[in-house]
Amino acid sequence: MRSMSLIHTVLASLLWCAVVFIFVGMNFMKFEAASGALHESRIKTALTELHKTIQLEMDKGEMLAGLKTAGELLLRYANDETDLLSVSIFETKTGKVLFGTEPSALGQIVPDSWRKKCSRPNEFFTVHETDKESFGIPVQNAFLENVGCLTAVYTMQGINAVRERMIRTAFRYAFRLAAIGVSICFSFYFFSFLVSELLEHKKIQLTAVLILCQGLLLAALYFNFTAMFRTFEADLREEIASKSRLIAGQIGMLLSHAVQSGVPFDSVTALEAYMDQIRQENKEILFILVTDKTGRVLYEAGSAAKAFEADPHTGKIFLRDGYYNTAAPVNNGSSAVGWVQIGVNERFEREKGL
Amino acid sequence: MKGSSVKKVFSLLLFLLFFPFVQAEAAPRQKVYLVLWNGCEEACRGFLDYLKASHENIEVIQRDLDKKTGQVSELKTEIKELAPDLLVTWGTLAAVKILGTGNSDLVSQYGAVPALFMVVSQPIESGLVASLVSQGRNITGVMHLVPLAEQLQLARQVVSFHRLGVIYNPAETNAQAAVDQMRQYASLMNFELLERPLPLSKNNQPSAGNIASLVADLADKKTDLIYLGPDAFMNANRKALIDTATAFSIPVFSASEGAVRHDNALFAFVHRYYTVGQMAGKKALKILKDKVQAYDIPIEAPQRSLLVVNMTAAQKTGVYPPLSLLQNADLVNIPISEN
Repeated sequence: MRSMSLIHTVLASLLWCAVVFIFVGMNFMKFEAASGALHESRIKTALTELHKTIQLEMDKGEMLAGLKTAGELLLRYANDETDLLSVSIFETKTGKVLFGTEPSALGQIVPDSWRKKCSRPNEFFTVHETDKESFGIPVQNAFLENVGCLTAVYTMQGINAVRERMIRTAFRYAFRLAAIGVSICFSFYFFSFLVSELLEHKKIQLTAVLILCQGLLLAALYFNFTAMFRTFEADLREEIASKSRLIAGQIGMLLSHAVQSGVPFDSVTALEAYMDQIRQENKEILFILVTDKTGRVLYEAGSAAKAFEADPHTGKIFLRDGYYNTAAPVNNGSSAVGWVQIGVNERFEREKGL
Repeated sequence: MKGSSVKKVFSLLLFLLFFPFVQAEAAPRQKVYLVLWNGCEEACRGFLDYLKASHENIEVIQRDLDKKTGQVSELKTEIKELAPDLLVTWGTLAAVKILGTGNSDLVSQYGAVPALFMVVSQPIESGLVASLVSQGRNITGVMHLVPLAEQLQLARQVVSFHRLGVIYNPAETNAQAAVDQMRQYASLMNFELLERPLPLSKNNQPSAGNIASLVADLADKKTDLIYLGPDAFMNANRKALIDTATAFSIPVFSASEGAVRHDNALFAFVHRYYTVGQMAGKKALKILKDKVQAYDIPIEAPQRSLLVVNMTAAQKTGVYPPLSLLQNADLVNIPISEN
């Protein structure tokens, strides 16, 4: 086996750096896209619920301008959404803000572009700016005429901070891996140089060192990428947690409403189909359970078995690493009758593969 | 030269002075003659609110029949005198009395006045128009009932029925027409229709005393659901139907919301009257503002319906609509919780 020349070493190092940067870059883009998608889908999930409530009020027979509960609904929404700047409803025809959380905006006219964009029934429009983003969805009357538009403006601070953290993580791991690879290449170069000058049985020695170097590189790749994925997943955790809390809360509220309206908690019709639909629309959700207050599972969508394991000694059940669980109560009056539990696979993006 | 400048300034001043009148002439006030059956209720309010929100220069002349047809001839004379731009009626009776039917078209007597009706359940069967899209007269309108096919499809989401029972007065055109339609949908939608016409006396009158035994018969035939259609007699005696059906744990679904709100029918898919009025307002603006002929505007009902569920009836029959439907439903008569 011939010894490695300096040019080969430099070329190998450059190639390694390029591969590392491409691979890390691709993963960064994937997780950044996931973070954006989670953020957007959380906002749309929250707004869709508010939109449904407003539509129901209109279907009950009110004009948009005369909706008595609109102001209260918007205020409640604003209290639940931490990164919300404002939420409002404007009239499509005039663009005039009818209801909103910002008193100074009431009666003002929204940009003409918003009126045009807010036109496709049941479809959101989004406007992204550097520090804020706006979402809107048309409000229709019962004869499918666009009469208004529900809009919400959110700050981008949170999502921008996550993006910056992800960029730092990507660079940190890319440089670390590049440095490890380059140092291993040069170590191999110096070793092969020494071997060619000093030792007998060069071929066997070099092969052994080459295998060792490759092993070291693979180990470095594995540990660094695992660590990088974990850091990216930790960055996504906050968004995943707030979205699953929101969905659990929505199901909990809906069930509470049903139970308070007289539906027996243990015989809610087609609840599992409803939860399954939510799971299909939100791929990160592994399972949704509805339990009574003793913890007995009454309804289940998806399988929770993967997320939990039992301690062989104590029999105590706990959540596996990489899974997140959130719960929201189902109330009947002031007392809880059960819980909605949502389990999320934090590694859903990693497991999708590149 | 000097004289011409003075003329120009004078003309400008004159223009500015009379500008508001020129404007007013450009958009003259239009007259809508609105004939109500029983005062200005929800549909009337929806109609007026819609016109008001349009900021158009429209005057609405309201006349109330007060559930009587005695003053119809006076109103007809007044319509001829006032020559409104649009004639609007509320309810089937007011529409038939004021607009006439296809055979005795009264609209032509008022000149070329277009007409619009609202809150009419069966405009074809009542003879107002020949069809919903080719009316045959310069009339359009808004129906208040959800189309039967849609009602049945939506009802299937609430109760997965295989046998649907209907008790009706065969002497009523509307009721018989609904049953005829249901017969067609039964084979299309793959369910068995159990028809139970009320026996008629020699005077062609049904008796409410037969309702309970017919419900018992439907229960015996394992009926999953009973339909209470647009049937004046059955609606007047709906309590007997609903109470007996509930005793057999058979849910009742109704074409109108009154049976759900005030009696214990389980559910109804409805259009709120306010919405019907608003839709009539929209059609009125098409005629008045966009100058569309009434016969070019199809007769229809609002597209999106509202599910009204009586939760006490649900508790009594043990039939609860799926959660996804409950979410967007108007839940009424909620039983008092123990908590």
